[in-house]
Amino acid sequence: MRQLYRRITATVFWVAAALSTQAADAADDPMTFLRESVEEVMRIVYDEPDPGTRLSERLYPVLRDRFDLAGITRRAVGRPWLKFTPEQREKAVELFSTLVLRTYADRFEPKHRPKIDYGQPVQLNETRWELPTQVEYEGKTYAVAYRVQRGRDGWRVYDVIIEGVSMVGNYRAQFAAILQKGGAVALLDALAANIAKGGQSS
Amino acid sequence: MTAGKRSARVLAALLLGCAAWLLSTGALAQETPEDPLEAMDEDASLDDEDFEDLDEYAVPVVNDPFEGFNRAMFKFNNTAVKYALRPIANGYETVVPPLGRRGLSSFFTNLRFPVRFVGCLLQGKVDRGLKEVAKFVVNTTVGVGGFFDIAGQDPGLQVPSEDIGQAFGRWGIGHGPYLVLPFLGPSSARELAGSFGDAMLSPVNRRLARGLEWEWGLAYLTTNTLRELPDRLRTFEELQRMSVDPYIAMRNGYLQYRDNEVKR
Repeated sequence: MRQLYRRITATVFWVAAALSTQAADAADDPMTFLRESVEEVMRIVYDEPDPGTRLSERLYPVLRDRFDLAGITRRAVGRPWLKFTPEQREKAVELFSTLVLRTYADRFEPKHRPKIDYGQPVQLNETRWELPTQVEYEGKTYAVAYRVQRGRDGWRVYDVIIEGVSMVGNYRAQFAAILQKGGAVALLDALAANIAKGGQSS
Repeated sequence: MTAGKRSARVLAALLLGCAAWLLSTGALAQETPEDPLEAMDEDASLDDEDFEDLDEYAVPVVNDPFEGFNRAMFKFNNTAVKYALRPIANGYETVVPPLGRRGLSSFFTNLRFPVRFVGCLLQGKVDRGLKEVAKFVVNTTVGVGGFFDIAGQDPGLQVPSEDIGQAFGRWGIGHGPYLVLPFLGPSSARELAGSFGDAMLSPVNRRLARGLEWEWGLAYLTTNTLRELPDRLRTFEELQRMSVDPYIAMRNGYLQYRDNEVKR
């Protein structure tokens, strides 16, 4: 009886170990992370029945989970980040996250489902990868690359590069001019102003 | 057009290219990090990883000596989009059904074959040039004059689109001063010179130069502008929505985009 018990324990242990290794393998692979993230977004946009709420609001939880919003903000601000007070940092992440998530979520239109092909991942350094994809949308093909980093909580996206235009690089250029003129206060004001006008073009 | 006139035009394009090169003060989007020691000691609580990602994206040095004029043009274009171009684009999309729009898009893309082909050859990309020839032949014949992008179904024939501005870039010519053109939007000295070259390679422009059938030329220009308009406006409007400084967002986006095209 005791032997049987031991055998069962051993089996359970090995199965659990095998499963966890498998899970760890998947978590270690940046492409798997990206595929899962993209599929989840696609499922919400195209497969789930529309509950009547705004699409962007339904996407926020998954995007918040998959994007490294603090890392994106830090990179877009650059060195001047060191001069921000903790409150300013928190506020900057909050405002900029709203802007980034809204921009990304607004790209999806439930009408046309894009076809996505995954390319060869490029390792940038120990923890960072660039993952190229081709998005076919309404008869046209766009190059969309995701930069991901493995941190304490697993993989997270920290930049989206569309047709060679890096989102973070683009904000970095905009922020630099504002920061030079008016520092953190001016940047927070500019971000708040954009969000207040609801992203309407001026 | 006489041979003399043609060579004068080629010469003019080359001169413009050289002018762009002379005006340029080196590559435009060079990554030049800010003073790396600045404010280094202000917050000791940050670990190395955080320091590292702060420097991952550098602010590019941009050659924009006509910023005042460019900003005025940007504002002008913004107004033009709002009150004229947007309604025109909406009208076009209402009148022409999606299939027709796609057909027109394929037709005009096919007509730009000489630009892509010469762009390839000027950069020594013979293999890409041959693929362009194959695409042009297939689309012009089987694709009924280019209205159907039949070659687009063959993944082996898909190559990045080349043009003269990209060739200048590949030769090491920098952008030169950044320019915002009325109605046409962002450009640079190099890209402007490149688009003169592109225009000379267009079959319709050659026809116009001979003084024949200008009505056809006008129809070509109008339709080509119309079919490009909705996509161009969508990009422009999205940039406005997502940016905190639309002028810099457009400038940076345009330069990143073109630099990437040169690299491809």
